[in-house]
Amino acid sequence: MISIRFVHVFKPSLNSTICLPETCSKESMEVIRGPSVISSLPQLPLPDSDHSTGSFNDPLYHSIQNKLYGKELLLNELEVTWEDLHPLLESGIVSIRSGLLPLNKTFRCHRCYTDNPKMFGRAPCSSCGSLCTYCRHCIMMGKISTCTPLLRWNGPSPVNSPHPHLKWEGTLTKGQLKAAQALKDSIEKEQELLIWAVCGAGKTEILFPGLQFALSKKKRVLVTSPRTDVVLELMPRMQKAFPNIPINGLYGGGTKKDPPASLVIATTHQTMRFTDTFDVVVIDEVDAFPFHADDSLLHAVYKSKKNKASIIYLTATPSEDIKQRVANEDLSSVVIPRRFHGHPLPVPRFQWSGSWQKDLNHMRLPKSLQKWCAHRIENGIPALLFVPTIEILEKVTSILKRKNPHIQGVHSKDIKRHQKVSEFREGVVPLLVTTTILERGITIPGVDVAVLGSEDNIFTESALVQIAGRAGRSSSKPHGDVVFFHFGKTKAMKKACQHIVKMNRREEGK
Amino acid sequence: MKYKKPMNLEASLDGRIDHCLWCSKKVETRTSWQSFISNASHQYLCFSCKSLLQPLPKNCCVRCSRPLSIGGEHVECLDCRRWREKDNMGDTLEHNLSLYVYNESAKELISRWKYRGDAILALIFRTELRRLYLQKYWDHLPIPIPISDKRMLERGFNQSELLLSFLLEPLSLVEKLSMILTRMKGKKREEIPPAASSMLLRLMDEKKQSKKTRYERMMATENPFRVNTKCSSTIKAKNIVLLDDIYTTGSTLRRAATELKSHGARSVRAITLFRGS
Ligand SMILES: [Zn+2]
Ligand SMILES: [Zn+2]
Ligand SMILES: [Zn+2]
Ligand SMILES: [Zn+2]
Repeated sequence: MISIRFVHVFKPSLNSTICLPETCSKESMEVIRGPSVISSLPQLPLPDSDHSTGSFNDPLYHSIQNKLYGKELLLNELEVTWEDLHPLLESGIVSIRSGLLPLNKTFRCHRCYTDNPKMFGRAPCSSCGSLCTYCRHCIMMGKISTCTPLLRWNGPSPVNSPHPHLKWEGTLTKGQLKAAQALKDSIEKEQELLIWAVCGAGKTEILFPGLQFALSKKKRVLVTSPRTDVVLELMPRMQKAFPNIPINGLYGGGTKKDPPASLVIATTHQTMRFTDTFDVVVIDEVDAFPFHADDSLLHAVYKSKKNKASIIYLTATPSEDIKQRVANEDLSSVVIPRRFHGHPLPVPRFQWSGSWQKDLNHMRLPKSLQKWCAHRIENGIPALLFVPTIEILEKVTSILKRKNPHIQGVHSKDIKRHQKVSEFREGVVPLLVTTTILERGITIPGVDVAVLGSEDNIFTESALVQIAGRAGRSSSKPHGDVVFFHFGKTKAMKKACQHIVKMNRREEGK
Repeated sequence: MKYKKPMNLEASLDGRIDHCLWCSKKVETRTSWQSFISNASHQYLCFSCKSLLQPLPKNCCVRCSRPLSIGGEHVECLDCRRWREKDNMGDTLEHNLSLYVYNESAKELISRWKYRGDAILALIFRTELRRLYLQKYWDHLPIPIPISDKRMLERGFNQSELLLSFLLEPLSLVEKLSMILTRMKGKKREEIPPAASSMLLRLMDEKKQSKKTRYERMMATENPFRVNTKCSSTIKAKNIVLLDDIYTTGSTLRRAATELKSHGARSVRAITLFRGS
């Protein structure tokens, strides 16, 4: 069996201790610890980056540099052997640390940062010949066990950062300008900032001046969102704004392997492989799933930034935690209460619908909702109808289809999801029934929005604010109808309404 | 809920499982009196993930569990008949029982379990596998289908061996009670020697199944399996039940069966988790 064990040896030339595979150690070396399984060796201090010792000029060096810079990867992700790596390890350009850090009664995964004992499994392992703990949380990116080393690049950066030319000719509103200025300040001072921008405030444009500033200072920038849709939408817009800047777009299913760029747009999941590399991190929709439920993912994002860096939280619905930090003056913030077109946000109406579940069981909709739907269809107004569960979605869709067979329903497990949404965009589908999957990101000009069963737990304040934020997005049709059909008002419904009214009352720039 | 951990596999480091092993969602824990006396009553999957595992339909081939479109009792599928008539030896594999249909979800699960290496997902099958074994094969010698040394190094474990480890666990109280009530009572239990997992060796890997035609899969000649010479006396005159994850054409199982029979095994049957088609 190839049970790879590791040793700590003292390197006089570096005046420090390094970790090497047992097979690479020589008799002349001063072995301090080991050989043993990587996770049972104590952690060595992380070496300083950018110390370029020795000159390597072979293609392997550059290939490893391009793959590994700013990241921590498994040996098989690098597609090299220990022998290939040996000279780089001895010179300290590449270093090794354990994938899992033993803690009291649990471990911490150095890739995804989870330390929840429930996220680790233990099973027989033939590569170390014993029972071995592994991280289940990030296993889809390659298995990390107690016997798995992670490799890190400490050598010079391969990132080529040309001076950015911003090719965007729009103008920012007063609110956007103020936020853009605050963003620039935070980047300069390497601080954190919350940008609280209502749905439709034009948050991508707000980023342009700040990102131009950061890139011109040769800073490395990460823009991350939990959602692949957002990454896919942002990439072309950013590339258009910064035509001479190479961009790495990373998302599940994306396979392009470009050399590391100064601007990275990635799903939060993909940021797990990065370490200690970004000067600016913009987290879009910090409150959205899966961040919310999953603390470790936020830690993984923190891990991707340099020690001194600025973090920008960008959202329309900040979580209580973040609001609390602002209240404690622990986090500076800037609010954009106005949409880019200057019109107020549509305020939701409440419509009591009795025990609507019973209606559905009798294969009919509550009267008020039925009227609402009929009116939109007759007048050619696109309509989104949100429902709490997939089961309800299927019932409602089949009821509506009897009136109009073009009506469709979408949910997270629907493989035709993207096709149906684009048919809705084109007007082929007059009304789209959906679960909360479409609460964010979708922008349809002139759409009206309804929620059936808005009293359900799944419709939190922020979900309802986001849903209401779908309406009135375009400047040609800045108004829209938003109705919550319910069987009893909830706190979340009232708070969502207050949230929107408060934003509308806020003066721009205050 | 505290769970009794099976040999070699731990699904959580704090000894508690209140999440679904597949989707990680929190699962409502029901404190059931059963959990105190049975090691098999634990729920490893949430309700919606459980529903993704699709039990075999009623109409199946009596010999290989293949789902059939036409019903009727005691129907043997065409493939099984071909196997039986292939040479004068008859079919070396008497019978295969599968737990679930090999559908898209099963594919996803298997890929995470076998290829990504999420070994503890084996626990999902523990209860059903034990039940089947105790009901029908208590007097058989279970042998897992081996993988080659090369595969073993790549994957770190053999999935079939994990299945065997469930059968090695001692009987729980509930299982003992149900054994008394079923007809297996009186039949002599076949002791499982610790070496059961190394009785059969695999010299080489086959081409990826998907890269071969159906005919190639059925006709390939070279047998990759060898009985471990140290164990040939243990196999003689035994009824054997092979353990594997998927039954696709049955050619792998039949080659293992041929090898076992040529070393004197009396009969060879199989339990597989999934039945592909
Ligand atoms: Zn992990
Ligand atoms: Zn191991
Ligand atoms: Zn589940
Ligand atoms: Zn059959």
